Amino acid sequence: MPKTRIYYCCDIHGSDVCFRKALNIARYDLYKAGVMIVGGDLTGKMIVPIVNQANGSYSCTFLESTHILRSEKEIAEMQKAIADAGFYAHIGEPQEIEDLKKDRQKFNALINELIIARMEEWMRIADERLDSLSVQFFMLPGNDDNPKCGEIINVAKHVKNPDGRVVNIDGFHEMISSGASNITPWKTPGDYPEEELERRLEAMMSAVTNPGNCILNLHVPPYDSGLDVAPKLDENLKPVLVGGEVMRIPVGSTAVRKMIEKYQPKLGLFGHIHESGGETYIGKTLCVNPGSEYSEGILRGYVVEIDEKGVRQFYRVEG
Amino acid sequence: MGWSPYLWGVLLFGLANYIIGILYIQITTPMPRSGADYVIPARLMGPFWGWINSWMILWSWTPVWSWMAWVTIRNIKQLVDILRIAGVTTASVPWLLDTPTAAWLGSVILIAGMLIVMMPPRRYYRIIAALGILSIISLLIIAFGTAVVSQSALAQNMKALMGVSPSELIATAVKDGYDPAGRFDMTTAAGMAGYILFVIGGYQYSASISGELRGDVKKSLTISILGSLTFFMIFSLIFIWFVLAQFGYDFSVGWSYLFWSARSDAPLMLPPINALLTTIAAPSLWPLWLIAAVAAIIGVWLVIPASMLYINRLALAWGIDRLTPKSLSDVHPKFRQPMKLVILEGIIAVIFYLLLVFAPDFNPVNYAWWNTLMFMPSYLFPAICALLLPRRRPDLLKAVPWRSWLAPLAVLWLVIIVPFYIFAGVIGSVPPMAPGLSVWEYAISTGLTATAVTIIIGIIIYLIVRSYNLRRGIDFNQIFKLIPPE
Repeated sequence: MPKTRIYYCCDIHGSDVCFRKALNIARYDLYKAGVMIVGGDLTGKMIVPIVNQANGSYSCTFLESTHILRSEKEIAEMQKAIADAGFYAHIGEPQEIEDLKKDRQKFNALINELIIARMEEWMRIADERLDSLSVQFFMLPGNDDNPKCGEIINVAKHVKNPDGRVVNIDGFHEMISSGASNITPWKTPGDYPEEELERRLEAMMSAVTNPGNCILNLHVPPYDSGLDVAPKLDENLKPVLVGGEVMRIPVGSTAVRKMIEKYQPKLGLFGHIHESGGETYIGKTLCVNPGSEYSEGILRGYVVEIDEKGVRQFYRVEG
Repeated sequence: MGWSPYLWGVLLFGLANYIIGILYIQITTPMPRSGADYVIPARLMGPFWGWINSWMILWSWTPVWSWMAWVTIRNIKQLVDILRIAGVTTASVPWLLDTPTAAWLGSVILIAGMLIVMMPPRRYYRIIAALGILSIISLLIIAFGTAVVSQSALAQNMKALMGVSPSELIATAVKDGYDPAGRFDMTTAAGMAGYILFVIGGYQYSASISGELRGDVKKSLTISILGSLTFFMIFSLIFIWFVLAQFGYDFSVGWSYLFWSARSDAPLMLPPINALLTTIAAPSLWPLWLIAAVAAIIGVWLVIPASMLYINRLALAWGIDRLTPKSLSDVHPKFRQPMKLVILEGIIAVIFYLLLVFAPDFNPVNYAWWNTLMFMPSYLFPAICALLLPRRRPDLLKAVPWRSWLAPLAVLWLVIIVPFYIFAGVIGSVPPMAPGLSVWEYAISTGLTATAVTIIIGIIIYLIVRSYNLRRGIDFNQIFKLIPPE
């Protein structure tokens, strides 16, 4: 069988520029990858208000600086900068913005609306740009993402949502995917106890013809793999300091590790822990986590080439 | 004694160092990566330039480790000498400097440095920080202790204890070429070049581990780079003031001249910044000088594990970009360090050290052109990267601190450093061609051929690896090229 080249990135967290870059990798065939996978998390977490001032100008505090916007062009540029950093711009009156700060329900309703609008916009652009290309383009929602994101991807023409399914990517390699995570301190929509995660993964693996050829596209990295090191947090979600230093601990999933050790798949694609990017082997399985710098507009990824014998080559890319 | 040219030099070049320090913060903050001196030029200038810059940095630093081991042994001897002068012991340990002893002791010193680098990063940084504080204590004791010693006591004791009087030492220095007029000349300027390089070495280290910094990278880099520069500059001004005032300009600078121009007449073969000098001038305060001497041993030795980590992070980044075999850069799962690279560093360090001991002619650090050319990218590349960043990676510009100052500071640095480099790094350091010597003989005797061969080997390695990777479908140019954002 010919080699299959996969490009994998993850954790773009709503960054418009990162998503466009991912599409352009396919559009310009930059890494010669026939399979493109954008792993979770796909959506952002913050609204940046652009406040209508009494004098007709707008004020916006973004990245610790306050900007006064006096023209539509300036407002559009600010909205773009906010979207590129993975946030959601919202233009409003001072009172409305104050209400949003106080009322969690109103805030949640608005951010979900903005998230859905951006996902729909992304799918529209993707369908436009991927039309006539032969590349397979997968997008997997992560634990942080609103469940509606998956539904939006499901109706896209040229983007596939592999979540919870077994997908054959090249007639030889099957891929199982899950954006779920073990329990995080933030209790996100996609968090599950390890036992439940294990049950779900086992269910998917049981449908795989040859586990040794399989690709795990799982978002949460295996426990204690070096791809899962994050600051330890206290009950107030503040980093625990030891001797003046932030204490770091493995936070990956034991269920994922168990799957890898038991089935020894060919490749594991992970993300979730932005600051713990890298590559490692667990037994025969190559595990990668590209890490993420979405807020800087940098798209980090891995190019992996596989064939029936194994992983032929892999390397980190960023741009 | 007034405000000497040397103090002006420290002040002016200290201030100039703020420019390159800020440039390092500016180019590293938007792209914090381990092995920054490879990664940043590679991303902004292209993989070839990233490779050649870091290849030259590698060969500029590796021979320095052997020199640090050599100085550490002399610092150990100094410690025993202090105890002898204080009357605590009658032991004399000149055999420490004898070839066989120096060979194994220096190798042990280097291996100890290597073992520190093998420790998990968290433990490594703690050890380095703790030992760094100890070496600062040494500097402070010597600096402020110098204020209480006297020139007359030094003159009285030095001949008896060291076998050479201050006036004899000055006469030797003058005979060897030192100009006692106290002008700001080539020697002073070359010394200042060393000062700048020393500070830049700190910047390189800070930038190189930036990929391992957590939280606010700009803040951490600003504190480590500008904070240490400010401390170092203020300290140097106070210290040099005291040394020059208490021991005399010609004695201090003459001794320094003998040391930096590698004359064997330099007492102990050490620079005049040492606890033995203060012990000679004020023997009754020996416990204080002993603490300083212990901390000095640690401080000099510390350069070995610190720069080994710096260099292996460059090599680690090469491996990640597939410039070197991936397996060489594998990170040990438990120790979280690239063990094979660390061991390789240890082997190279010991080889260079044994060359220094047994066949100094084969140690490249002894050759003027080697030092002048191999260190050159360290001076120039940060500014070139700063100038290229807005054009090559406009997407990173928004994360550059004080970004309106990026290009002006880069230009200002080049305007300062290029003439200075030619003046001090080339004219002041490299010997002119002696009459009767052929170009080939001159090139060999000054290290020009060794430098050229090393650079050419680097270029050949790059071309071979590039061609091999292209055949496998890996194009270096695509690895970190800006992906069209629209």
